[in-house]
Amino acid sequence: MAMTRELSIALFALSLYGCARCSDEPRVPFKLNPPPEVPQVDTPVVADAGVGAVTAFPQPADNPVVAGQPLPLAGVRALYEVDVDRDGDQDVLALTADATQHVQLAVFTRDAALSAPRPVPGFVSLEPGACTIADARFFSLSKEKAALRVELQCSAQQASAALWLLALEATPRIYERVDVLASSEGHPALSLLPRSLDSDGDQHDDIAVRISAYGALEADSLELTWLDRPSGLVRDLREPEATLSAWAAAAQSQIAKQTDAAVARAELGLTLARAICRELGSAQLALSGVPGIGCGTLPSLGALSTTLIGAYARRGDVARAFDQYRGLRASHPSERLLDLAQAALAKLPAASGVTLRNGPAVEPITQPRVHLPSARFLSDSSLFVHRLNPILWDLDSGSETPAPRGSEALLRDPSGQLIASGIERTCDGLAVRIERAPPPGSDYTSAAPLANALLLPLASAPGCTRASHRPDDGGFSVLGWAPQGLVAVRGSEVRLVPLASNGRASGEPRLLAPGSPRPAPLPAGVATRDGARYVEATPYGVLLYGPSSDQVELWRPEGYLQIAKGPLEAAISPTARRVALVAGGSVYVLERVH
Amino acid sequence: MQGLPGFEGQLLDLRIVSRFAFAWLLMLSACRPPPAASGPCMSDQECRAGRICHEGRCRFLEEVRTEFQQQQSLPPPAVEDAGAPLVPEAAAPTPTAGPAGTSMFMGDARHTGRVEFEGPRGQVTPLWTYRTGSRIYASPVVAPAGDILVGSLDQSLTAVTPEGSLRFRYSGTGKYYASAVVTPQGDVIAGSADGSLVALSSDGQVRWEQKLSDAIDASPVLSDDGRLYVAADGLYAFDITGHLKWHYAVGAHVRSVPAVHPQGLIVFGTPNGKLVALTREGQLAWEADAGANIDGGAAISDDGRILVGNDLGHVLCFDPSGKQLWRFATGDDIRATPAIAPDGTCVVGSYDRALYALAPDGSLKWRFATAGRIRSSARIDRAGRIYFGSQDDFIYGLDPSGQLLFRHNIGRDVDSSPVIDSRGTLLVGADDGSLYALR
Repeated sequence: MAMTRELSIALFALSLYGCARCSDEPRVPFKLNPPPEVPQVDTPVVADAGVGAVTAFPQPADNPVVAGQPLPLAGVRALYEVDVDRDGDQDVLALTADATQHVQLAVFTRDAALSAPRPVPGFVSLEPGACTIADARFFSLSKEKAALRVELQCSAQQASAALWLLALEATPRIYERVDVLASSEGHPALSLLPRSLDSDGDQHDDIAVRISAYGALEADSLELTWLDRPSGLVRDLREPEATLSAWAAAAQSQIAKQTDAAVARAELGLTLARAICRELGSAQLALSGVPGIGCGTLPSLGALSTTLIGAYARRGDVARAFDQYRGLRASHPSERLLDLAQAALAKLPAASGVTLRNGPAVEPITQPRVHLPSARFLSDSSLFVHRLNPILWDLDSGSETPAPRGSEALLRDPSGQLIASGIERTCDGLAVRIERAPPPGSDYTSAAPLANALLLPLASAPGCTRASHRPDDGGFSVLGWAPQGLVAVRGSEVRLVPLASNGRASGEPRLLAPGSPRPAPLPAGVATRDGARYVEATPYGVLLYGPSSDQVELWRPEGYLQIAKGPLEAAISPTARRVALVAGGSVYVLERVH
Repeated sequence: MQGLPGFEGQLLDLRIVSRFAFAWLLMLSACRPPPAASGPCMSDQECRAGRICHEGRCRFLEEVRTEFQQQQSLPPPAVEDAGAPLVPEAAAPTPTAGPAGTSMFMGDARHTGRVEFEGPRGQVTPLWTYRTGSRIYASPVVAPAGDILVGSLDQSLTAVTPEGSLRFRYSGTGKYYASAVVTPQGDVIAGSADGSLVALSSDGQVRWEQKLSDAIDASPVLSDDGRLYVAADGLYAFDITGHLKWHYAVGAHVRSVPAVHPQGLIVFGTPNGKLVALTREGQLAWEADAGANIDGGAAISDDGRILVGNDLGHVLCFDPSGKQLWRFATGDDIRATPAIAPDGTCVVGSYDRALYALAPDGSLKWRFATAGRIRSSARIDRAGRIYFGSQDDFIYGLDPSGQLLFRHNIGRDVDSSPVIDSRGTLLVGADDGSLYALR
C-alpha cells in the first residue's frame, strides 16, 4: 500500500517536472517537431581520411597553423594536407576568400619549409559580390584525386554550389567542375557528394558524384561516374539511364501494392532527370559552365511517366494522371507505353450522376485555329451550334431556331478590335498570334499578325528566324481574353499573357498558381464567365477543372468512349451543370443530374 | 481493504494500475497547453439554441445585450490632457481632399471618413454577397460608375457591379491588404504585398505597373494636384501616369496610410513612433514623436489638426506644425484611421474592443463597446451616422450620439472599413472572403 502511494507521489512529481519541460518548449501543431538546433560551430572541423587531413573553417581563418607553421594566408575556409608531389612531405591545398569574396585555390609544397602559395591553374573564382561562402570543404578521395565543394549563399533565398574534381600532382590540376545553378529555395537545389571507386575494375580509381535533391536520403540519389582513362577523366555514359531504368522497373512493380512508394520513386526519377539532363531543358546542374549533362535518349523517362500515370490513376488523381499523360505524349513514346498509359486513364474513376444525350449536327470551326467552341452555351439551356446557318438549340424543349451569322467564333479582346488567332512556336517560345479583328458580321480571313504575345518562353533553336515560326500550340488552348490579357491552359497549368489594349505584351507571361483567381471575365465557351471552371475534352472523358486547377472531375457517362473519337471540343454552361461535346460532326450534352 | 480469497493479488494489481493511471492522467493534464485565449467557440454557427458566440463563449443575445448596456453606462476613461488644446487661429478653408470624383480609403485624401450619401438607418439585410478566394482586409471603394472595387488576400482585385455581379477580376502577384484608389477618370490604382503597384482602366485593362522594393500594405492616396502617394519602405510619390517623382526613405516598412494636409504636407506614421510630414516635393517638413508604432493612417480635420492612433492605444492630436495638442488613452492598440465628423468629433476604434468619439478638445464624448477588437476604420454618412466593423463578427451602425442603430452578424471578423454607395447600400468585406452589400 505504502509502495503504491510512493509510486503515485513519484509519478505526480514526475508529472510536474514533465509539465515544466512542456511549458518551456515551443508548441508545434500536428506533432511536427522543430528541427534540432544545430549549434553554430566556429571551430575548424578536421578529418583525416587516411591520405591526408582535411580541415573546414566555418569562419574565415587568418594564418592557420599547419604542422606547427603558420600559413601566410588570410581568409582561409578549407585546407587539405596531402603529399601532392610524392616527395614524402605533406603539402597543403588551401581555399581562401577575401573580403570581396574573391575565392582562390592555392597549393603550398614543402621542401624544408612550406613554399610560397601558388594558384592552382584553371581554378576560376566563383562570382564575387553579394554571395558568401556558406560551406567549403575538401574531400580526400585517393592518393591521386581529391575534390573541393563550396556552397554559396547569395541572398536569404538564393543559393548555389560548385564541386571541383582535382588531380593531386606537383601542380594540381582540375579535372572537372560541376555547378549547381542558383536556386531560390534558400539552399542549393541539389546535393553533390564525391567518392572514389574502381567502377570499371581497371585498378585505377574513378570518381563518382552522388547527386540528390538537397537533404534527401542516400537511397534517393543517383551517381554520375568519371572513369580514369589515360586521356583523363571520362564520364561513364551508362548513367543516369541505368539508375533511372532500375527505378522505373522497381516503381512499376510497386504500383499495385505500394502505390505511394511507386509514385515517390517515379517522381524522384523524373525530377532528378530534369535537374541534370540538358535535353530536358530545365537542368540545374552545369559541367564546366555548360548547363546540363548530355543524357542522350532516355527510354527510362517514358517508363517512369507511364508508371506515374498508372499510379496516379490508381489513386484517382485525375489532374496529375492527365498532366503526366500530356508530357508523355509530347515525348513521342513507344506504342506499348502509350497503350499502357491509355489503359490506365480509361480506368480512372469518373463522376457519378452524369448523363449523355445526343444533340444536333454541327460543323466544327477550323479557322482560325484559336476560336470559340463550335457549340457553346449562351445560357444553361441555350446552345449556339455552328453551321453554315448557325442555330440556337433549346435544351429544355429541343427546339432549334436560327442564330445570327457572322464572326461569332472569333476570340476577341474586350474592345472587340483584336483577335487571338493561333499559337505559334517562335524563336522566343510559344506565342499567341494577335490579329486585327475583321469587321463585325464578316467572315474570318487570315491577316498579318499585329503581334506575337509570348505565352511560354522556350530556348531558341540555333539559327531561328521569323521564317522558322510555325503553328504549334504546345498542348495549350486559349480560354479567353480578359481585360488583363489572354488566359491559356494546358491541363491544370494556367498561364496569363498580360496584354495592353493595343495587343502588345504589358508584362511577362506567368503561370498562375493552383487556386489563385483567374483573370475575368472570359467569353462563354471553354470556361465560365468568372474563369472559375473550365473544361477539356479527351478520349477518356471530359475534364472539369475547378477554381483550383488541381481540383478536377472526370465526366465519362456511359457511351462516352464510343463517341469521343477524332478531334474533340468542349464547352461549359454558365452554372457548370452541363457540358457540350463536339465529336464526329455532332453535339452531345453531358449533364449532371444529381 | 479485504479482497475476496484468491483475488487479492489481482486487486493489488488493480490498485497499482488505477493509481498509475491517475498519475498518468495528472501528468497529461499538467502538460496540456494553456487554454487558448479565444475560448471554445469562434462563431455563432458553433452555438446552439439561438445563442451567439460572444467573447469565445456561447451566450444568449439578451444576456450579452444587458452586459453591453451596463458597459455603455460605465464612466469614461480619463482624458490625459497634454496642455490646453491649440487650434490654429486661422483655420484653412475646407480643402479639396482629392480631385473631384476620386474614391479612396476613408473617402478623401484627408481621411475624414465622411460619405456624401446616407447609409442604413436601421436593421440591415444582405442584398448580395460576392465571394473571393480569401480574406478581405481592404476596404471597398466605389467607382464613379457605381462599380465596387475590392482587393483580397487571394491576390485578386475585383470589380463588382452595383448588383453584385463580376465586372472584371485582375489577378495580381501579391496579397491586397490595402484599398484601391479610383481616379476621376475611373482608373483604378492598387498596391499589393509583393510591392506591385498597378493602374487599371475602368474596364480592367492594365495602364501601367510599377514594382516597389517593399510591400505595399497601406492604401495609395491621390491628392488634388494629381500626385499619387504610396507608403512602402518610406513614401513614394508618382504622377498619375506612374512616373516616380520622388522617394523618401525612412529605413523601415511603413503601414500608415499617408494623408494629404491642405497646407501642402503629406503626413504619415512610422514603425519607430514618428509622425512625419513631408512637403509635396518630398522634403522633410517636420517629424513629431508619437510615442509608439503607428499602423493606422492620420486624419486631417477641417481646421487642419492631425489625428492619429498608436500602438500604446493613444489617440494623438497635432497642429499643422507638428506640435502635440492633446492625447487620449484607450485601452489597447489603435490600428484604425480616425474618422472626423463635420463638427470635429473624432471617431476611432481600438483593440480594447470599443469605439471612441472624442470632442475636438480631446475629451471623451462617448464610448461604444463591442465584443471584438476594432481594426476597421469608421465611416460617417451625410446624417452623421457611424458605421464600422469589429472582430466580434458584427458590423455596427450608430447614431451620432453613439446609440446603436443596428448590428449585423457577418459571421467572421470584419476588419475592412465599410463604404456607402449612392443608393445607400453599405458595402464591407470580411474574413470569410466575401464582399457584403447590406441595406
